[in-house]
Amino acid sequence: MNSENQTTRCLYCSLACPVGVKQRARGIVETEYVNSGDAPGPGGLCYRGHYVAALMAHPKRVVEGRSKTVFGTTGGAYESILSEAAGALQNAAKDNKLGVLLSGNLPAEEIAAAVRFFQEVLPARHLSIYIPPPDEAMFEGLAHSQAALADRSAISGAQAIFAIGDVLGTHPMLARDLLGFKEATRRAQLINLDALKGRTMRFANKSLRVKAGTKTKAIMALALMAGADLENLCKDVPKIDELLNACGLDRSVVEKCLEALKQDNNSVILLTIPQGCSRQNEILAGAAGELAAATGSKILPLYYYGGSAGAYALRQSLKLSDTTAWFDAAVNGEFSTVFAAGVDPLGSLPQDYATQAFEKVNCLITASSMPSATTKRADIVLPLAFWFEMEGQVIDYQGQSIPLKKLGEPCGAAETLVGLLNRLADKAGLSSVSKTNIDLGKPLARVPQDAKYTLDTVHSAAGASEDTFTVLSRTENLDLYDGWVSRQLDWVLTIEPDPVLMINPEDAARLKLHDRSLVSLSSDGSSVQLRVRINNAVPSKTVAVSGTIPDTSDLFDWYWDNGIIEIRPGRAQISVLARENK
Amino acid sequence: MNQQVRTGKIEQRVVLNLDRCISCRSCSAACFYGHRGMPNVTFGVIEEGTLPLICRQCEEPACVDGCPVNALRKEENGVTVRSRMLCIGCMSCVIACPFGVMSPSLTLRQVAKCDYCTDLVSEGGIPRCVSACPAGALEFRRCDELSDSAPLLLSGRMIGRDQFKRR
Repeated sequence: MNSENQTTRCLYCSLACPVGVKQRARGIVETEYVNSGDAPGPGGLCYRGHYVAALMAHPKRVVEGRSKTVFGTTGGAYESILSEAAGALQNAAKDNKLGVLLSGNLPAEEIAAAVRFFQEVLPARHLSIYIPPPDEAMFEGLAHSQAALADRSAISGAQAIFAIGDVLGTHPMLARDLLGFKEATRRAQLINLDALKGRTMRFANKSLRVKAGTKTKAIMALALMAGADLENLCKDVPKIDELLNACGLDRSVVEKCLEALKQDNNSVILLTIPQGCSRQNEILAGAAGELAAATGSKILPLYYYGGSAGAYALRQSLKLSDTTAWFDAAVNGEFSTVFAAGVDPLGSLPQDYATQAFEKVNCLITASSMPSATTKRADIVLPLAFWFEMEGQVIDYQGQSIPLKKLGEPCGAAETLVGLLNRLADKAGLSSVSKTNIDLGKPLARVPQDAKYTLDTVHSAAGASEDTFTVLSRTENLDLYDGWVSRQLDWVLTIEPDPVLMINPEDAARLKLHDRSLVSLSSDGSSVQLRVRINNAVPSKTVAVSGTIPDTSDLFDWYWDNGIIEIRPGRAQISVLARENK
Repeated sequence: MNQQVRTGKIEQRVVLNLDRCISCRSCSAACFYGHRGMPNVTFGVIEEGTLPLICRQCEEPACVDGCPVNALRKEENGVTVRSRMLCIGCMSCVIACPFGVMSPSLTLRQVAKCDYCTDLVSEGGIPRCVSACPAGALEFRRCDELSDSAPLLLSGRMIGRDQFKRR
């Protein structure tokens, strides 16, 4: 049997690790980490890298076109479905009622060519590149600050590392760097700030454990104590003591952490952002940037998706509207037809608003690699290749452009985005586009905006009554559920067949819950069934669930606030359905 | 004693450094996809950490003794392997294992058994769980290099989340 080894990049997080895929004639065998010179560090490949092989040959993969008829969604001849899609796009473009939303987690060349297609060949009324909300908050927030950006090599030479959020949870491939830093010298300080005791806190020398939903206030307090000016970020900046009280931090402990950060002006702040694209997340990122500037540290932003930095730079350089403006236009009924490529807004954004946005759309055409909430609602579904079946470049967390190689041809009728658009152009009798080399520039090299935010939206997470719990949205610690597509993978289903609810042992004992008990978590009329996982890391009166799968997204207090999506910690009641494992 | 037990002695073992394991489960993912959906790495929970449980490849394996259909046998290289054709999924080996590292696959109705990735190790490679570890917590070390203070594998009987394994 012939075997072939090929290398691409994993875009499941911004580290964009090299992934080797061993292929044989009958399909993929397995993936492996390629320890090349620009790799994030020596060691193996995190669990998400293995998804590449699993997704490539996934049995549920979209490999043919589908069209909705009076009889429901049917397959039919792909050519006629393409003609139908091309006709709908052409009519909407003629009426100036075409809305286009493109995935930001694709090679930049593919996105740029698609943008040109929808600007020159089939002009769209509104065109945007979708970037995950937490990443967008990080870009916007850091653009307000004067922070100096670090690269990965700064970790090993640092005197202190300040990790905001569970860095090892979201980016496990930084483990060797962080543990190596900690073991290198006895003076090295790893400080972690988070609401839950996650993986990073287990290894931290100093822990700043804050109350749920108060991470922004804690970073603001640190920045103010370090002498930063936050007036350019936030109106009516609260006093330091108010902020410290709100997040439950002791001033003397914070002062010791700041001392460690200021040592030799040689510290690194690792920044991760909680779910949601909220004002408070932007302030968090901005305050972290100001904290870095005030302490002479450098900041290393860790984005959720590998393509985010490139997509953001592209959106700025092409002067495209942001995602929230696009959704505002959709809610206002400006589109009769929407073309959504590689994105699942109905599965990953607040369901009320995404549903509202697509309510007034007559024809939703989606190009997707896997079935999703959006493909379920779509009138026409076109098969799209995964990123690892396309060629181009992406920008990683260090702002470096890295090439993305194609592993092989996509299954069935699936095509690259440019290939698909050119097929549609053929059907409509229009000219085609081709990929060109593009200069992405630096993602954060932009003029800071004048916008100032208030802290009004920062939520106080105190429990309302004995029976209610604050619900935290997490990806860390619940990382097997880091997305709707991940949840359909065999390995995840084997390890964790049901979505998990993490709860403190004391609360579990009070409710007579055991590990794996089945409970129903209800909030504002919506409810979801989850399996209990007892965990000391969760504070009392708080439960943590994954916020990135449709099952749980209804539990959170999502809303559009002046075009900005925010997720507040919700409150919910637990009712026991079945007690297992007594 | 089951006739399948031989005197093979293992030369290299997988060991876990508890100070480096970040509970990411990458070892399990690598094992799952490398063994066609039969993960041989299970997990135990200590407070907030989830730690991998990997077969120790015992010198006198109780799982082999317990197997009623001779599906398990100890190879000359010291690795205990399971025949996929013979295994009836009776879980006798799961009960017999003193360390609680074996787990049944409920969907396939068979019991997964770690074979130290014989296909890779025989060609000079290392087991998939070790090569996948992003933190360097899992190591594949020669037995003669292991001292008393060396990191060892964990016992699922002590930290397993599965009550069936605990005793």
